[in-house]
Amino acid sequence: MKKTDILDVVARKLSPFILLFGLYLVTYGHLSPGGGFQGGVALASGIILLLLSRGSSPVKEIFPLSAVNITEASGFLFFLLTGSAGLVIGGGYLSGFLPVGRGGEIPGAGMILLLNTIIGFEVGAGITLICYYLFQGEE
Amino acid sequence: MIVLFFVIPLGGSFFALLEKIFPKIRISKAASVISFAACFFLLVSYTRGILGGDIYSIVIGNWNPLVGIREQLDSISWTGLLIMYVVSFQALLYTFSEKKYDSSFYFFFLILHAGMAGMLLAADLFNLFVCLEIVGISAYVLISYTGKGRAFFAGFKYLLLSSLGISLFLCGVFIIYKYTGSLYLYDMRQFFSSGPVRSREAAFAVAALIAGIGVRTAFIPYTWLPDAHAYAPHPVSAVLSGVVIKVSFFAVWKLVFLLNLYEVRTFLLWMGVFIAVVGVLRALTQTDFKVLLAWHSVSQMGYIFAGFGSGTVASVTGSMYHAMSHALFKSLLFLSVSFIIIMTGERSLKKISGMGRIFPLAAVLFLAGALSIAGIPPFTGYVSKKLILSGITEHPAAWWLLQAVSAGTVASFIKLSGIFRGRDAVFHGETVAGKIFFKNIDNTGSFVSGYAAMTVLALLCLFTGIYGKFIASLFARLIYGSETGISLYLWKTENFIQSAAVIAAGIIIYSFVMSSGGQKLQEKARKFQLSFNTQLVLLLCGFLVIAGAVYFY
Amino acid sequence: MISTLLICLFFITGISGLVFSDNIIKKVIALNLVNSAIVILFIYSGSLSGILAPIILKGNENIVDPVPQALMLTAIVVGICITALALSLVYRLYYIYGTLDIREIEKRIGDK
Repeated sequence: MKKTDILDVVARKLSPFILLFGLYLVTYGHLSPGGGFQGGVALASGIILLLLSRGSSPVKEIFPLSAVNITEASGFLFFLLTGSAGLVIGGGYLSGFLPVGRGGEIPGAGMILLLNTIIGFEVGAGITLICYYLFQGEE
Repeated sequence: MIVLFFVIPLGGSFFALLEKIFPKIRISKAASVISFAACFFLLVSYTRGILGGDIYSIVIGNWNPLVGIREQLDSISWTGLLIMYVVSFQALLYTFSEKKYDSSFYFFFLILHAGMAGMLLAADLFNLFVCLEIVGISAYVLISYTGKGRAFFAGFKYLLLSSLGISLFLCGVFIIYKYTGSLYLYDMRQFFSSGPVRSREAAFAVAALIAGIGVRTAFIPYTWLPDAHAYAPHPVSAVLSGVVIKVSFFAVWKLVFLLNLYEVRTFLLWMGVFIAVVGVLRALTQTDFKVLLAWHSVSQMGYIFAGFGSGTVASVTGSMYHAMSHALFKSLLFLSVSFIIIMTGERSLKKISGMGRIFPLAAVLFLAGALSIAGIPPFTGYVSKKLILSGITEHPAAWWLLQAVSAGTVASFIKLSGIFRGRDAVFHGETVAGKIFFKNIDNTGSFVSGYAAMTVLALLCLFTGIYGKFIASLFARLIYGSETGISLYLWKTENFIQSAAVIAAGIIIYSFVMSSGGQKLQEKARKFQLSFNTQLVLLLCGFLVIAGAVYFY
Repeated sequence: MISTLLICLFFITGISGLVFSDNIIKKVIALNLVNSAIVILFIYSGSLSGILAPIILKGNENIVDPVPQALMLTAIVVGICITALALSLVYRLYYIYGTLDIREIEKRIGDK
């Protein structure tokens, strides 16, 4: 099937905004609807849109497979470490050790912002990886 | 600290993931061994408290217990974890000998054990669901790890069936949440003991929960199990048959015990007897080593469920005992039979016999497992089967059927022992001198750790049989919290005569199965396979039957 | 009432697709339908208690029940993993057997 230019242009113009929106969802997850997983999926969908319109090789130049892999693994590690830090400091696994601010402000939620960020990157990298590997089959 | 049972394997799996990304760092094996050892010693440190009747519980993240995720280590989960670490560690050792597993295998292996620990510790329904799915996903990947078409298909069938089961489970969770406003297992008691006790909703919820987990324990459609367990990589077969279905069984145990679901128990008793009979009949007709063993897993799960369902002290203790002994001997059998498959590359009974000449140690280890599963004293299966049967006497039909299943088990293991039996080693119809298979040993290393793993399992089979009385009273204390005084006379002449009668019946069945008429019957029975769509319908029917059984009881 | 019926219809569509369809990709899609039906069921019944998003700044009156939402988020995550894994297994099966028909695959395995 022939690709039109419209698809190409729209995908290229749209995907930075989708990535930005994903980051917004990740960082505002404790204040408004959103959160680590939702934001991560939005991040991944920005990359997947590019992947669908441009094919995998130019996308893999911007988001190399190894970098996505490392992001995914380190997200896993940081989540475990953050959880275990609560265990070491006292209070049990995943218990909050950061100060909690006033409700309604960005740094107000203690651990939640940190965990949301970690989960956002982890999920974004994970879903991107799934699509990288699934699309690899065609080639 | 009990959350560490979940965190340590996940930490280990991170190192396996690291090896996947940077292949030069060879740490996945060390990471798996260390995580298993750490978890085991952590578990041992709780022994004294658990035997004293303590229950350890935590809420993750120190949240309010009303909203937090609760984890609880009680005597049942302790026993489950003990079985899991002992058996899985042997399977892990076996993987070191086989030398064809890379870091991603160890990654999923560790995730599988994190999930199973989570399932045993879960104290709320939703956490149970999440852990079921973690176990499921890693199991599907491990089953299809060999990359053969049949393995992929087995994994795919398992995936669809258990996902449908899990959807039913979620429906049950929904109903319970709607009526109680809580997901904590111990709160649900009130829902089932007061108020709208035996309402339609309660029946539906119970049926959905039991059917959802029942897929994993292979008792509602049991049909996925033989394929999945037979075509998985060898150590994974041992873990799946030995541990994974037991862990799901303990989840059913928790539900039924906590909620006092007597109606479900009667259903479990008869369903258990049914799958015990079907499993052994199908096993008798198989020629593939591992498929035969996998059908025996179905049949032995039937034993466990029958004992659990009858509800008497002796047989409930017996079902826990049998869960342990089945974990030990079935993993031993899978590992020792797989050893022959690794060495010869052949997995059909028709093509091979007399391997005891070439691999005497493997033959001895196989014999320990076979004697255990056949229930011959002094091995472990003898004690557990005796316990189950002694508690089930009020249902004479079930008693006789289970005895017949024992005879069938003896017969099919006489058949399976054909791998090792015989004066000369025969391979593809030709007598082979012996040394030709040793080149495979060189390819796979010296197989020391594999032999060590099998030897440990065989010794455990023997010891848990000899000290049966002590262990049975220990289990009774763990289950009921106090000394119950089961009158267990293991070493009586009467029992020996009974065992001898079972063996004699087994030999008669064996000679019938091996006669020319029996061979034709086997051929016909092997052709009979349920299509996958039928299996899905069976799952839904099983769910409806349980719902009906609970509602109309 | 009508919404419950619609959700039931959705669920039954999924189940019947799972049982009666022979194409394995369609089976995976049907599995997704079943999963979505349950997600909608939870979210719908959680939303009966109020209309506001459960962000507790101005008191907790008239908010929807947050627990089903948290639960279903997890269920969706699990659903995504299952779908991805199932599709990769489908791809493998197609690669090996050259067909997506489950009966055909069963027949070829049985013949071997």
